[in-house]
Amino acid sequence: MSLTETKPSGSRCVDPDRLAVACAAVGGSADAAFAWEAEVRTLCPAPELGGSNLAAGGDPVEFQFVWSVDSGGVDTRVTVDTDPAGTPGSRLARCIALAPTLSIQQQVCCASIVERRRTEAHYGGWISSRCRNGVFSRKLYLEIPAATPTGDWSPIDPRQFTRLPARAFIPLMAGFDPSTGGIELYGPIAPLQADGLGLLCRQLELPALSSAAIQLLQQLMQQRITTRMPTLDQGLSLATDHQGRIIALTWYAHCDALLGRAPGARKALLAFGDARGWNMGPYERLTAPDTSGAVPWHGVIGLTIGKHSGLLFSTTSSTRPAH
Amino acid sequence: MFDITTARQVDYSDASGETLQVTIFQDRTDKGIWYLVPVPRLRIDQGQPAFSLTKYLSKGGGIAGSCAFEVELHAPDEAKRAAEQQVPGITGWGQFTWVRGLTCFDFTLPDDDGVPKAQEITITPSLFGTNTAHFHVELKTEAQLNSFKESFSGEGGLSPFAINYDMGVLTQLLGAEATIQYTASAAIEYERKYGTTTDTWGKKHTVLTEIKQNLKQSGAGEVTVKRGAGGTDELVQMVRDWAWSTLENQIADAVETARHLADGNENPISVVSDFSATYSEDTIVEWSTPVSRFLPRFDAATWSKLYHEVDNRQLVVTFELVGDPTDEDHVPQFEDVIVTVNYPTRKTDNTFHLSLKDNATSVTYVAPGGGVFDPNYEYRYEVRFGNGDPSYTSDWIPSSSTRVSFRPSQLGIRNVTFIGSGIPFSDGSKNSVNKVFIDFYETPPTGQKPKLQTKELTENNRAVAFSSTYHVPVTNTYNYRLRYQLTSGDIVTVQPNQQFGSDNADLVYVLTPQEHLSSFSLRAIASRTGDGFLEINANAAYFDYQNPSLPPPPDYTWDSWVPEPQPGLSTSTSWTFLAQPDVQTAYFQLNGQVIYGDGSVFPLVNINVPYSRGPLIVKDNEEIYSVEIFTNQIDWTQVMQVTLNIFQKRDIEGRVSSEVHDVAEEFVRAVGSAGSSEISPRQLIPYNILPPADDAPFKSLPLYYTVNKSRSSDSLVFYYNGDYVMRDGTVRSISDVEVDNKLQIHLPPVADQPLGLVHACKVALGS
Repeated sequence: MSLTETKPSGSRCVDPDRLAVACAAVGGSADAAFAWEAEVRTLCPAPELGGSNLAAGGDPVEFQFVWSVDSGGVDTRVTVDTDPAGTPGSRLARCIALAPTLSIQQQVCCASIVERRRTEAHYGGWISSRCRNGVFSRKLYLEIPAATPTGDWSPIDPRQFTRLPARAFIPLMAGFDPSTGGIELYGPIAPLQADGLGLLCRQLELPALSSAAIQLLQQLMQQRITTRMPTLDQGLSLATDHQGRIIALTWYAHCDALLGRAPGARKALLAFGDARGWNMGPYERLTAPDTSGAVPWHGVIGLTIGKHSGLLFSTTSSTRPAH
Repeated sequence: MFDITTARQVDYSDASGETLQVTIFQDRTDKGIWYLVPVPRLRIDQGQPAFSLTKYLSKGGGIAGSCAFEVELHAPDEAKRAAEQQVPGITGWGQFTWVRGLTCFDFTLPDDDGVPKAQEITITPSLFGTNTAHFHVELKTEAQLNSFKESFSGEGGLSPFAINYDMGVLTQLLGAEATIQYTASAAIEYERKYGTTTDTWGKKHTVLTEIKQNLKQSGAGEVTVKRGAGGTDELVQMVRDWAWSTLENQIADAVETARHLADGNENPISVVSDFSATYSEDTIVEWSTPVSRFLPRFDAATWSKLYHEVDNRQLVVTFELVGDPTDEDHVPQFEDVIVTVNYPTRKTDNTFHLSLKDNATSVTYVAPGGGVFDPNYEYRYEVRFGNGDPSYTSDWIPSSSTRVSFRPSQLGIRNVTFIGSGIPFSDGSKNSVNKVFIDFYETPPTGQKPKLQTKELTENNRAVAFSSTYHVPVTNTYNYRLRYQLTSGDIVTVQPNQQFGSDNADLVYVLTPQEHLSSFSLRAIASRTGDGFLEINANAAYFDYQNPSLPPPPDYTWDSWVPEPQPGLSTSTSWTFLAQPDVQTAYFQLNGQVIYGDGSVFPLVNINVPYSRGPLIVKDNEEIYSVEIFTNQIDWTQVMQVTLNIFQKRDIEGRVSSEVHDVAEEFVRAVGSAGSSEISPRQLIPYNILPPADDAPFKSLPLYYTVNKSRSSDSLVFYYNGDYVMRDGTVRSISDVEVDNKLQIHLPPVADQPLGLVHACKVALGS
């Protein structure tokens, strides 16, 4: 395999207790916190390092909080850079080594992506993990090489993309979750028309929850959304089941672009969640300001419309401030 | 006028059964009248969609095909019916009077590797009729053509491409107060930290040039909305949305002005200062009404009429009327415009008319291709004014543009409207205003006598219009000066920089004379090969003799400021203070020292920085001086206006030139024209000096320009040009005047040289 790889620069150690604090925040109990930390340290041998491309702050560990809009319950996940000091190639190799057991279809897709990695890579891959009934289950993310025709390996027909109202969708990352047996494609899109979210749901035969999703976003930002979904940098993910049928879409935007810098964003998210009676505890604890008042870096806000999940709202947070 | 607090969303089903939404507003006084925000649609012309996609089979002249279509705004009957059912008491529908508009086509084209890239074309729609906008997209490759075919053809439904309209309409801000604020230092700091970051999607950013889009991330933008009486959560959301877009537009304007002023700095943001504005309740504001719709996808029968394949590339040019050529009673100041195009393949049926009536504000001229495609054509236009007035016919104008827009100034029409907004008329406050005098000056066509008109503004929310019809094209610039006559007897004078005619209506908001937050800061630029800085110590004092501030003069000290050591831009802390500057004459006087990285010291001695040119930019390879211009000798009995421009030349690296070069006259005239020449002139926003008003406490105040000298040179070179508009209508330039090493220029009583004369001045200052 011939790869032009870039090694992350500016690696630096930061306070290792950050991870322990974060795991305690999401775990709730000492045992659970210990389990979370053990899982993160298994996936990432040096979580205290900086300079990772996983999050803009350089943290190789990023937690994601996913709230069900209906129930207000929160599901916490963690995504890690498995080799923060390594190269995209070494990271990819480690991700594959740590990957969960995938379905045959998923394995074929993975192999196809890995085989096509002829061009410059930015990340290589990530691993995420979530805890269900005390057991961690992992999800593998692979960076999709630039200009890879998705039709060659993806269960989603690429012609479908060109007819979708989401313009310029370029899959950059593929997620493989053994629990669905499918594949999830992630990539940037041109700013989506607000009406386009509804059309997407219709075309993809997903529940008609676009208005509720937009309303949620309006309430979070305390701003109207009229023509396009807010901010220039947006992303979309499309998740399929094991038969290649689309079961969920997620619209993403940068948290700071929507809500401003981390302290303000945290305040807005807490007020937003509290007003709806959501379980904000793990998020509130993890993002608590440090002694200098700094708040961990927030990554993206996501709105998921799923066939089975209904409407989900998510945000990601590093374990530490960006600078 | 509509009431923003009554905004309601109405769901309706269109003809295809699609559920859509429109926004409606109630009239403030006639409660039965509502306004429906119209939505875009593809225009239908004689029963057919105004859309064509043409593929060039053999001689495409460098492109594979082109797509042309027209869109317009309309108020769907289904939406009106739904509103009438959902909202009791609607007796009629009002019509918005637009003052601004932008139409944007969002689409995608594959690049050379087949990767889809988002594209956006923004144009100014007509402010009249159905606000038609013509789009013409050239498709370079077969793949691009096919992507359009795929997007627009197929069974029913909608294409993935959309049209966005953002129209502006005047209304009062009710139920909330909004404050917008821009902090330049946060933007610059953000650039320094995140300038090279790769985002979640692997995309690299040039943050600073995209600051308009990064206001929230950087913390450079802030919007605060206070709920007022009658305000609801929904209203606060709407006002916040409006305030953010107002802030973005103001930053875009400031960046555009800064682009003209950017003195050798690649990034105009470096010269944008902090600003803030508060819009209190009842203020007249330009409310935006953004709406969007996807364009349709055509069924096979319709597609066969809209898709064409031809051998040779056609010439496709859109001619359109933009801006507002109506007078204060909204009556068009001309009958129509007859355009004739001269192109070899279409010599007949090549004349058409444009007018505000019959929705004929634009026409797309298509000439068949013939042999090798030639994009060059010529056109001529005749403006018919009616009322027996002689028409104006232009010369033949050569062009290769695919869009020709006629602004009112090209039809010999100028219409600028002033609207008072939040002026404290006789309210007993400290800044209580009796009246505002508006001195309006426009450069007349050659040979016509210049006009300096003065009108009074005595109440808010009422338009004061200046309309002129010259019957020959005029420049699109104008100047004005506001003189607030306070109840206390004091006069507050504000003369902003020269204004440029808009593609939309020319509206000027006259705001309160109350002092507002003003700011000044230092910016340091360390070059890659320069010495950098050890520290900068400076004291700035603010002077404005027209509108003195208390205490006189306010001042601020930067003590041992150490700019960032890395190459790039650093910003000092901002000095903010309250003032109501007369932009023309207010200035900062700086004293202190710059200590460069090599330890050498440059003393700052009475460096005068015009308020309109702040902040002060210090470079590690240059020294700063100021040129003082005396205006007291101008003979205002013979002169009506003086335009003065001082500029320097810089190379492509932004280094100031120490040698005298030839300067073409057009560099002075073409504002902001950096051109492609290796040595480009900068600082091309001139001073426009008007005769002193009778009530002005100071009849002639000096003006200042800052100029730079290379540290490695012992002299600096600058260029100046002074044009006098004489009261008899002639325009002349000043002759060379003596400039001593104090860098003082005394403008002469009258000018007697041919127009456009530029003088070079080399001054020895030692190194």
